[in-house]
Amino acid sequence: MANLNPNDVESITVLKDAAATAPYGARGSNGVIVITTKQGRQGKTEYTASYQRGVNSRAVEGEQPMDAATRKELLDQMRIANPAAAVADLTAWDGERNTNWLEEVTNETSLQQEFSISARGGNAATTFYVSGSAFNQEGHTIGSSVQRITNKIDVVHRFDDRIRVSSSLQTSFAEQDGYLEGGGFFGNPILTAYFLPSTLTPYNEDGSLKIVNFGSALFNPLYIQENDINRKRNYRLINNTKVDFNVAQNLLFTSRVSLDYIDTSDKLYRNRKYGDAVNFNGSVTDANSRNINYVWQNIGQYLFNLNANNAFTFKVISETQKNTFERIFATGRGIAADGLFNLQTTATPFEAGGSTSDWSVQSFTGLVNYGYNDKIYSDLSYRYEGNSRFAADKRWGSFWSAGLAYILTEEKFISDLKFLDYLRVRGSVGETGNAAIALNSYQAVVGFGAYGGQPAILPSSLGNNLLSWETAMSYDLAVEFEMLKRLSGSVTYFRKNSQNLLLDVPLSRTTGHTSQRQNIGELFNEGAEIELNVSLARSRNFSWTVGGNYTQVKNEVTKLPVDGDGNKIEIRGATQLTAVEGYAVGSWFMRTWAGVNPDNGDPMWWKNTVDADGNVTGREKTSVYSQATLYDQKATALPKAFGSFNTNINFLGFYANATMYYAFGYKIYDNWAGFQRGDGANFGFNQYARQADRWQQAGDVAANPRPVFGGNKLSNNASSRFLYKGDHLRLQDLRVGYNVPASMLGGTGLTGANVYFLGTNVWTHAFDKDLKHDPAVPADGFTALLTPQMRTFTFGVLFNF
Amino acid sequence: MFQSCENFLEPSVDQEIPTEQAVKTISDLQGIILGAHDILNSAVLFGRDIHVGPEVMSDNAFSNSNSNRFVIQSQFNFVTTNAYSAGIWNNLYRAIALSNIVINNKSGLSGAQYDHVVGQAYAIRAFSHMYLLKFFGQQWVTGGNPDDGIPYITSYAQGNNYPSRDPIADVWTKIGEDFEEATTLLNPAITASGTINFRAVKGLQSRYYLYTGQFDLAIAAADAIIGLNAYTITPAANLGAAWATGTGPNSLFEMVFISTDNPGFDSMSRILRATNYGDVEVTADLYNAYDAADARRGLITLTGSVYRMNGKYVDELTGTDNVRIIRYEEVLLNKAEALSRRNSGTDRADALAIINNLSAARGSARVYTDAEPLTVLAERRLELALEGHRLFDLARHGQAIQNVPIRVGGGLRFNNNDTPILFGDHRFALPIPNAEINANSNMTQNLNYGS
Repeated sequence: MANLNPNDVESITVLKDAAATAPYGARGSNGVIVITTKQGRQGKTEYTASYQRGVNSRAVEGEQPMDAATRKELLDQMRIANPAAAVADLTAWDGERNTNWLEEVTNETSLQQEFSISARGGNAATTFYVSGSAFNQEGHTIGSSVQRITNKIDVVHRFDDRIRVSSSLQTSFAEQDGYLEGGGFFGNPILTAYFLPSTLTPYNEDGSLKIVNFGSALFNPLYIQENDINRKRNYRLINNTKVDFNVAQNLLFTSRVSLDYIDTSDKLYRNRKYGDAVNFNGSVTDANSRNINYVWQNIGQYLFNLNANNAFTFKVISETQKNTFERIFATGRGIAADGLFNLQTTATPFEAGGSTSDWSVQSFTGLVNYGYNDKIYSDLSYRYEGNSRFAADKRWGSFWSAGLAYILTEEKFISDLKFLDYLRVRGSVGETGNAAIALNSYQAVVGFGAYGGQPAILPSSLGNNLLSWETAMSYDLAVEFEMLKRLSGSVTYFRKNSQNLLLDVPLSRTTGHTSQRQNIGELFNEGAEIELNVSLARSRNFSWTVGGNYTQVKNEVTKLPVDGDGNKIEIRGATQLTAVEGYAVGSWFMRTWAGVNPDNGDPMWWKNTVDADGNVTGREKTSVYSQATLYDQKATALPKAFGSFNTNINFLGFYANATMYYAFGYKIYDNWAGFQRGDGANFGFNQYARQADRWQQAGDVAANPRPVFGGNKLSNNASSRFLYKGDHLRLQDLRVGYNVPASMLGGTGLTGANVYFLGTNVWTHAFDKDLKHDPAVPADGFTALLTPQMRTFTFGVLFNF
Repeated sequence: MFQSCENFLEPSVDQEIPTEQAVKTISDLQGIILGAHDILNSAVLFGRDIHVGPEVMSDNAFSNSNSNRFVIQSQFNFVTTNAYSAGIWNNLYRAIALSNIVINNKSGLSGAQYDHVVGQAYAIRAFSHMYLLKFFGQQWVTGGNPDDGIPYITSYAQGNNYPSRDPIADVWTKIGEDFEEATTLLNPAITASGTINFRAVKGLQSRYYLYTGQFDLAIAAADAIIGLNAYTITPAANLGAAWATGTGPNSLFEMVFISTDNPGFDSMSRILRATNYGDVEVTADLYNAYDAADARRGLITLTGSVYRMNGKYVDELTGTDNVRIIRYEEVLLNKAEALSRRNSGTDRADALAIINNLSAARGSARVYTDAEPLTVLAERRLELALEGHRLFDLARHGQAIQNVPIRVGGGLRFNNNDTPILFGDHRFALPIPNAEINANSNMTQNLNYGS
């Protein structure tokens, strides 16, 4: 997707139910997104040119670093109890210096722009589409940027009535400069923004960048970003070639080959003066990788009309897919002079390596579609699919689906209901397979290392010869309707029962391994989707629609087997239940924060009280971390309910539309709070500004415990103190524009023109007032130290001629 | 057609090979033994962490938290999710898994070369379990369950995925049996100290028997090394230079690091010396325990108010210093301790001669007048400082961990509590890693670490 020019997209369709996704096999087990790109069109050549320019800033302000004076106050409070408490940066502080490192590592308003041009046309035999685009973006974080250039050519040629050939070639080049996102390493500027004490400054008196030891193994991020290189270049070629051959009337044969070639080259350059590589006089790592994926599909299709009312389509598909990946890298150390970035110019070869991997899939599918009188449609499919991720005798799986749709408004007794314009009921059931696991998981293998310069053998994977397909039964039932000429919508119920789940089952470390991939357990996903659109006005000069959709999902692990020792298997992480019977996948499960003890400022958590027989009788507060009970936090990282509202207004060529996204019923965890909310632990690093609200004297009702140098009774360890409700509203898209009418374009040579203004992530409201981070975090639910979500304001123009 | 389909779906394994193919020849077995060494020399084990932890968890050293390393250990702030516990637990059992692949191999090989390799496997299995027991067993915890040793693992991939903890006494016994088995198999003529060998096992036995209180056996094992007359105590004048070579002349067993295979940032020298890490500082208490003439004090550098062990590991750039696991001087001290604690006949006098001889060779003007166990321990502290012994040496003698003063501004100790950690405190054992408890329904947690 990142390599795709958005202007080349004709349509995007999402397929979810079992019958619709059946032709896609295991790849479609979680739904299919079909992106149709633009193709040529017969007639006069049409040109489109567009330009847009925008500016980025943080969508949500986020946590703020603490200022120097407040941190000094915290230290002074800690020194009352512990006069020896001291940190180097505050000892050396002049009482005035105060740097907001978050501002220092941020480009407050970073620009992005995109230019694109395309043409399409053709005659009765041949049609074409060509396009090109260029995009560049300054990073919001210093030292980061993205550039992308794409082009596409798509040609369709009809040799005669029987043979049609089409081929498209898409090429792109993308370059990303900047740090590795979200890394817990000291080169990540967003990490340094929160870790570096505000008493330190990035500049010397004369304005040059400081290259001194900042303590705590942190370097001046401004110097590092200016002098190091973290660059990823991505070259991609995608070719799709297809031959359609009308063998006979009603009999069509299609052969399609898709080739996707990605070449990536990474460069990591560490300067010799300052930073990680200063001890070996700088270093260069170059890595090159190549991924080749091909799919060859042969499709036979036969149309059979029994009579005017009964139509059949029979389809047979065979598909072969193979993916090959190879990578080599080398590191050299000792750079002769600044500005030399290549391995060639390093003094010492340090390390070189390479690896290859492959996977393949093969399948045979049969499909039958049946239509009765434009009223009833049904689909049946059967698929036999083999995957290299499983052992030879476990490799092949059989899957099937059946679907039925009934357009009730084609029946007289329904069409007599005048208010109803269209009513369709559809349902499907099917069994799908999932093979989404790491390569070579079934094989017990050893890997290789070295000791003292001699090759050494290491255990790598315990393997599991029994590994096979995870399967799921999916059920869907939907009603779609249009009524009163202005109201349309749908209601869908879905349920998916998955079994033989492909889970990494943790092993006792005494086996020499940490986990083994196994097929165990069952779970379900169940929910409903509702969509409603109302057309409030619909005239030649004015139209207004309002719509919304709502999705509700429930997920639960229903069954896990017992282990070899007779105990129920439970897969738990440090803060989450990965798979435990009776709980949703990824349920947050940790100690529950009970606030700060107003008497002494100690942290408190809840613990169960038990009677003599060990039965839980209630709960009470404790300040001993190890005694606190781990509780279900009644939420996962994924929303229980989500959806959006949208509206669209057109008036005399002016238009405005907006999409408001909402998500409820999930929680997110700040996995770095242990450092920035240390209550005296990790005090050599800067803290979040919110830590100023702390216990100071008996009776204080404070958000944070009494700071104690070195930490207050493990208060900064994992607990619901750092778990927030993610519930939020977000104005995701706001677009206003003007379509210049053709009448005004006479004599200009233009056939159409459009100017618009687009806002992305314009406004966000989080319902948890304690949450300062952006509530829209990655699906794992951790706030991490990522490049934040951007609020973007864009101005654009588009011309047709 | 169908056959070709099957081949098409056969994945290639290019970086790894199936385990059953990996163990066929003597060089395969040797490769696995080297693999076990590769695990042992990682930074989370003997490359660094196993040597540093027991020092900052004692009166010898502390963490100034410069790069936030060894702070938890220095403060005894352990919770069940600490990476330190998990790193030691997981990786020692990985080394044990490799030793079990060798011990239980079905290759059908035999001969002297084969026996030596299998002997190395027994030695690694005993050695790894001994460290697991020292870190995780409940033997030094008041109220700890005597059945809560650690699982003693003797098979690989045989399906026992939920082992219980073996009783402490049983684990000690099995360690002893494996060391003994190793000595019958290892070739005494192979003395290279970079891989585990006959002399290393004899030396480790002299240490092992101190823990089990079998002093006759400890003395016999030590005498097996001393009687070789292969080593002499490095004279004071050469001490600094001997350490600076990166490999000691008196090493029986050490982890090898070379320019292309080393811990890099995670080296001993990087954490001990004044580098961008440099978290581990020596206490004034240790420094002041030496007299001015003692060459060992010269290995510690005083800059301002900061004491650093600069002399034992010198290559702070790439970390190519070999890390000593057992050396001749420890064997002498093991014998002295065994004599002192056995205390029959001339034992104390013999022990006194050993410690005075060692002390004098180091240039110290001090002359010990008794060889009480704690006197031997005091000399042992001076000799083996910052080599990963102190916590266990205190524990073996039933001693408290004194909360000695640390440099003002250098951080803090013991969760800001001024009192010592008395012998028997639950913190004399690390918590069993949370991930192990979650994966193994038969595993029990150590006292006072909660869930």
